[in-house]
Amino acid sequence: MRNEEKNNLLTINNLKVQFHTLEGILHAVEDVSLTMKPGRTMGLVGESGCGKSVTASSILRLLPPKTCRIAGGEILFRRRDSDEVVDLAKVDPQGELIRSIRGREIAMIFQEPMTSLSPVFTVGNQIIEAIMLHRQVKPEEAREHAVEMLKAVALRENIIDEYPYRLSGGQRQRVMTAMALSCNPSLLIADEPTTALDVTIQAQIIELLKSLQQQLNMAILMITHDLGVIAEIADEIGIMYLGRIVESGSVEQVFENPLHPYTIGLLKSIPKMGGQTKKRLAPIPGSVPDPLAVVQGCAFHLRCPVYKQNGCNGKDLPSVVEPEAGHFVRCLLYE
Amino acid sequence: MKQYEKTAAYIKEAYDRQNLLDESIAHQMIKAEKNVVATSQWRLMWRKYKRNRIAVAGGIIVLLFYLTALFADFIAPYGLDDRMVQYSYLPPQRIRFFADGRFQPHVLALKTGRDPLTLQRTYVADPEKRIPIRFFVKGTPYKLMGIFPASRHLFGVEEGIVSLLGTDGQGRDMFSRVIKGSQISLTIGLVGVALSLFIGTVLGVVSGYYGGWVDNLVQRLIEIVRSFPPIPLWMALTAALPRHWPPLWIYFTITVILSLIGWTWLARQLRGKVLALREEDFVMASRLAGTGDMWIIFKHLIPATFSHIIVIATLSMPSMILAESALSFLGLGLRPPLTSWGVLLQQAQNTQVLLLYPWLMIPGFFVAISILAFNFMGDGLRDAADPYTV
Repeated sequence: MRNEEKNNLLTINNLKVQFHTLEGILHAVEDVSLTMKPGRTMGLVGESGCGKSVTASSILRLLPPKTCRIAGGEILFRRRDSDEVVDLAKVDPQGELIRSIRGREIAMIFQEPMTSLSPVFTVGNQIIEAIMLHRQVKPEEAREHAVEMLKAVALRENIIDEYPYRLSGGQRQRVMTAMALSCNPSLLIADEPTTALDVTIQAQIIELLKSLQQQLNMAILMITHDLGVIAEIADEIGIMYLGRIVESGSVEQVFENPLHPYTIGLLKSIPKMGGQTKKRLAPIPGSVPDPLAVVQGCAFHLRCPVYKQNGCNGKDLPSVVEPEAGHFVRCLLYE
Repeated sequence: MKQYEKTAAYIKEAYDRQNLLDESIAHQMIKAEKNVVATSQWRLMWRKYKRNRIAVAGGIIVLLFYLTALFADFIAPYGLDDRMVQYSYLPPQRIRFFADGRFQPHVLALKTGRDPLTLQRTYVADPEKRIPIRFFVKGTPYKLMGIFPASRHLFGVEEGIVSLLGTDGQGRDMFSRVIKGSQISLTIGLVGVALSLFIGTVLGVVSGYYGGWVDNLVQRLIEIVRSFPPIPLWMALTAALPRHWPPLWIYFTITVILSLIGWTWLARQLRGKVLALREEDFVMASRLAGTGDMWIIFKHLIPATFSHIIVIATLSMPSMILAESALSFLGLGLRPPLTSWGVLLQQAQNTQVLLLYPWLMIPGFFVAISILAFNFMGDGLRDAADPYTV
């Protein structure tokens, strides 16, 4: 094991996830590899259905067991206490091991703060439940800790006895965050945590996550389709398209020097403030192909503006190349 | 400039050059998205239903029962009232399928005697004399489905008697009578459920959709209907039927009576469904498009509850069949010459029958099987009715 790998908190190698539907096999995640270091934030960006949420759920093994299968690859996670590395792709999804990791070492916050809290219990009840599940503490201590967590996410102390219906979307997302962080996880998976919120609240939540990350030295896997959010919070970024990471690198590399045609198209399609107002936005033509249709070769070729030009032969599946240090791209033009 | 930067710049230019609606790209897209057809709700339901084996078995039994009822005259070897007095209270006969190593279904001829002590009739099979069972034999003439005159029966014997389920005190073949009785027992459920579905759907949907005093009225009505103990209510209603009415009228009034009580359950369930559905955004959207109440009810609400209605219909069949059997058993419902399973069971009301002629209780077995089959089928349908959830 190289020295560099030793520090990794999470290493995903060639992960493949398939859904067995009645219409056929759906390849949701194809050959995804990524690494995460403590205290760093990785952003996964992509259109709906590109496999980013499936990647995140497979880390926690939260995928529906009947239809979904991890068809290959490994998810290596470093335990906090023992420093041992476990392959989460191989553990029993209902077993003792993954349950001790869920919530305590890897926590997740969801997209919908509205439905993620049970309406029949107070907020405090639900946070205390999470704490007591993983820590041997007395209820009073758990309550104290819950209050601390609520303060940490900049909520008033008395919110602890409120029912979720009395809270706004932003407050609920903060409660969710407090709950997720209450066991001091080493990895936080945030699956579009700001999508349902308005822009000002978005900014607050992002600031909150950043400051908590610094305090707790946890890694964040941020899943979103909002490039603005990613630019704000992430250190590294992976662009996903149809189950594959087509480009990855540091935020500066990818945003300032995008290489893959899909990334370039994404960045071109963002409306810019103060730009020429008469100019039309440039969307990427076409739409994501049907997920069940198996696309031969490069997944993006159906929408690619440089398809079969400049050395792209249009048939091969591109492999990952590293044109500059730490900046990976999967495109035939760079091979 | 490095090589990869050049390539990236080339891609950027390509985007700028590109026509927004590039024909060739659009064309490729369509090719890639070929034969993506959404599966209809009914197909999804069927798929899910098929996976439930016990429900499929129930469905097949129900289907078999109805087919038998449809072709009852043909399948039954004897007519409803064919009396073979010399064979009264004959126990079920054993059918032997093989003779002399060949497939040759037959029954043994019977010698009749009398028990010297009890004077009860006894039957002794004579192993020497085989009566072959013939298929498509001529027998009592009948009208198939009440239209086509015919006289062939599925099976029968030319002499003696073939009686799978024994005979009753008048020497009538129980098998034939059970099969004929299924016609009324099974259709009374169908007609009754259809009628109570109609009442229940109308009142339930109206009550749920309009709310307010309409809702209040319908719900209180349901409570009143439900608060009557059913058997005295049936008694009162059937007692009101004139004795001289023809059997067919009696049959229909009994179904009406059953459904007048049976609609409440459906109405309650549909009211709940509609209460939830009317708050949905698609109802608001329809209203914004300028549609009226009737349009919303018939185009949106009833179709949305359709799978639910079918499930309730299937699940209320057993209670209808049971209710008819109970009524007829008590002598309040159908009366001979009409024959249903309940009417047949009337014979099995006393202990003498239970001890000496237990085969007269066989119609009860058919009631139980059909009810179980309907329940399994309904259960399967209920699980399949909402195919969008896993």
